[in-house]
Amino acid sequence: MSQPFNTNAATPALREIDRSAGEFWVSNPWEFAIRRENLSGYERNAVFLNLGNARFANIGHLTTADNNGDGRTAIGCDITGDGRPELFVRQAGGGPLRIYRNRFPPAHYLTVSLQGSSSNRQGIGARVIAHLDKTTIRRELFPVANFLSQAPARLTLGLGQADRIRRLEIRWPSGIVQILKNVAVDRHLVIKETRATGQVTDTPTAHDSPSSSRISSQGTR
Amino acid sequence: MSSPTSPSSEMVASPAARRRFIPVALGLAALVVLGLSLAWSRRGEPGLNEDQARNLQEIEHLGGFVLGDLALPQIADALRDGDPTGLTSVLAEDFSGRIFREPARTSDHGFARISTWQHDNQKTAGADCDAKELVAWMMNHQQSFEQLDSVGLKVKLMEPVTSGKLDGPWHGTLRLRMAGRGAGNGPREIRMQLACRLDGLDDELPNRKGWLKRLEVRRVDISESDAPLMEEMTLQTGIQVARLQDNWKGISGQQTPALTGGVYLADYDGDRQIDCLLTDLRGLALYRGLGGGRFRNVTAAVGLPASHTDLQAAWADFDNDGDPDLVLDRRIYRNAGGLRFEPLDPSTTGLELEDNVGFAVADVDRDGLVDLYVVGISHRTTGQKWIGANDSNRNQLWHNEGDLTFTNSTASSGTAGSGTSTFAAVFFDANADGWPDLMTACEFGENDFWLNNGDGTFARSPLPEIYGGFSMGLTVGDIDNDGRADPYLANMYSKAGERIVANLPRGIYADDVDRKLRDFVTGSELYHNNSRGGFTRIGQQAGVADVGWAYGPAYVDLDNDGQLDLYAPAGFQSVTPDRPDG
Repeated sequence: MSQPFNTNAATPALREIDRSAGEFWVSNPWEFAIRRENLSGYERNAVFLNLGNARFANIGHLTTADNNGDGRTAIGCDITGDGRPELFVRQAGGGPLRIYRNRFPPAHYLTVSLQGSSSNRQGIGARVIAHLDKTTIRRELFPVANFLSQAPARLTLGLGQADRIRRLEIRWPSGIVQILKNVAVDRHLVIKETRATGQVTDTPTAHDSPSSSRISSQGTR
Repeated sequence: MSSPTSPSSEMVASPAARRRFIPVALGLAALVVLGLSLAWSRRGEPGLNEDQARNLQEIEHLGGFVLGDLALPQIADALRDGDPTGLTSVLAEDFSGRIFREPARTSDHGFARISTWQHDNQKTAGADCDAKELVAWMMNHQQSFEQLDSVGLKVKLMEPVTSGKLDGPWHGTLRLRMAGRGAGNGPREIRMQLACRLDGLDDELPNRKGWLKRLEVRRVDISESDAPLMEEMTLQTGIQVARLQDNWKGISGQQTPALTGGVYLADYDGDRQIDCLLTDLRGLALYRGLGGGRFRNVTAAVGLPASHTDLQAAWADFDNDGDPDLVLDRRIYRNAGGLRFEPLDPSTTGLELEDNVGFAVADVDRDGLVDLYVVGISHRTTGQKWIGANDSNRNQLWHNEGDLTFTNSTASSGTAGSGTSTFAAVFFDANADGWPDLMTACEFGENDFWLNNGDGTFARSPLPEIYGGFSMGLTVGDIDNDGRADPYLANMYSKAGERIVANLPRGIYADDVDRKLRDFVTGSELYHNNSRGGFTRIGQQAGVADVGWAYGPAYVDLDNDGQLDLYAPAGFQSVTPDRPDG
């Protein structure tokens, strides 16, 4: 890079500033911290709906989650147990924490927690691939820290109209590939890593109760 | 012109009130451009001379303030009030425009209907119209609301048609937003991208009629649903938000803190309910999830320091005992069975953390133990700069050796980064080889991206040309389910910054600096992972660039259709509601 910029530089107003009319001049951007003036003030948080084909539409107003606070970070995560992710929004102003309940129409889902044995216990770094009749959902389990936040180490797969997962594939960090067939949906499934090399057939029990007190394993026998 | 009758943060103020608030609130990019240029020109370095800098300030005064804050509200008022006469009065006698006459492209998602008028070639979009047709077309959209709550019309770009010639014609682009309730009483929103032309722009423009020579409607997005798709539940959760710092309710001291708190989710006690750690300038709290969206404060009961005011934290099960441990306060708090957190002395863990802004976790060498990446460690300052490496910080990679001990593998792994105010880092398997790769978001300088070699080392890999830096957050997810995750970068952006940089004369700076400056004001960015280990910038065409001054974004499949949606927080500092930038 050819030029060493200097963030400490300040520049004076070079034209008349009509202070009586409220006009102001800030000579260095860091001065905003001590000047009570707007800088990108009251911008609305955006909610982008994935339309497919790498196109999104901002539906912020339809969700009511498009508040105009000074947003800093957000996490999506189901906390009501219905499989629909809520939003946690953390802000420097305009409501320091705002949590939005998901009222989208219900669709099928599967929440997955992993229990590694040769892999790390939380299965961080695993790939989870849900083969449905018409499509395939691919996720990686990384508890993303987008800035001043961290998503939990679990995945919720949205399945749309699909009421079974034909084949659920777990690619563990250890290299083990675990396959569950014909997996029942609309529940929270905890999958234990096994060294079984062949295919493992899921034998689903009843829906896991959100209030069950201990992690149980399923479908990995 | 009428005064607003209903309160709204987006509602423009009355003319008298508007004159009291005359912002020349330049964006960060704009100020830095001007400031540094002057500083340099005095030393004989490349940069704007004083006349050029004054010219830029004058352009911003006219385009941003006179047009944006004094004149455009005449249009916004007319639209809000459904006043065709008011709208007509600003149109020139020889006005010409373009509108869309063909049907919109509409998609029905069941819960929402989305209509778009757009042409790939914006210059040939739509059909020519006269003033009467334009007013009727706009009023039709205004009438499509059962209740119109808010109208905002903002200047995105404005420049003299002939560069530097302020007393000639001007042209630019505008953003119009109308929001309220539609005919079915559900939420409805219309967003328009407009291009405009004026014969002249001076301080007296707002007092004249017929100042708008041409208005082209280049894109229209309409969204509507039968009922709100989400509903705020904060006060029902049991989380005591009143205890948290909210700059809108006041600050202590002279400085407005840009960052006030974080939120970190995990199931710390293995009961399957999500628990919530809140860091805040006013203290820390751990809330245990009770189910049904309810939480209870357990900070003291589990032995965490409620007085802790650092904002960064991270959860990970570092000892593989089945419950996630906590990185906080430069140390690890071992999670003892989901009952207590025990702070471990750095002398026993080997973890010597310095001041930092955040963490990321992954098992980078796939040895079965989760490693820790530390982001934005204060390093040294050698005259800070914001293009290129600025030596302001370093990152660290701590390798988990087992038994909650760590060794510093930053140097051997090659992941220190280029020292450019790193704000966030994410791990993901970019090239689908099974090894976690690493990308950072940097406030200044360039963002970093490394591919994991699988042998404990990382290879720095190129990001799409020029772009990097001015990033305040980063997330990653697979938007098209092709097995290659697509990073999304939240960037600093202000309309004023975009305006000023657009008016920056070419040839002042070296070509690479000039291109980077112009690249800095293009908004947030989506990198499509093109499956050959590289990325393609698609933020603009995907429709996710236009956010504002953005921070930590989140991919989340809100409608559970299998395609990741995106939440993008925005807004830097809001003080005066009468003059919103949003």
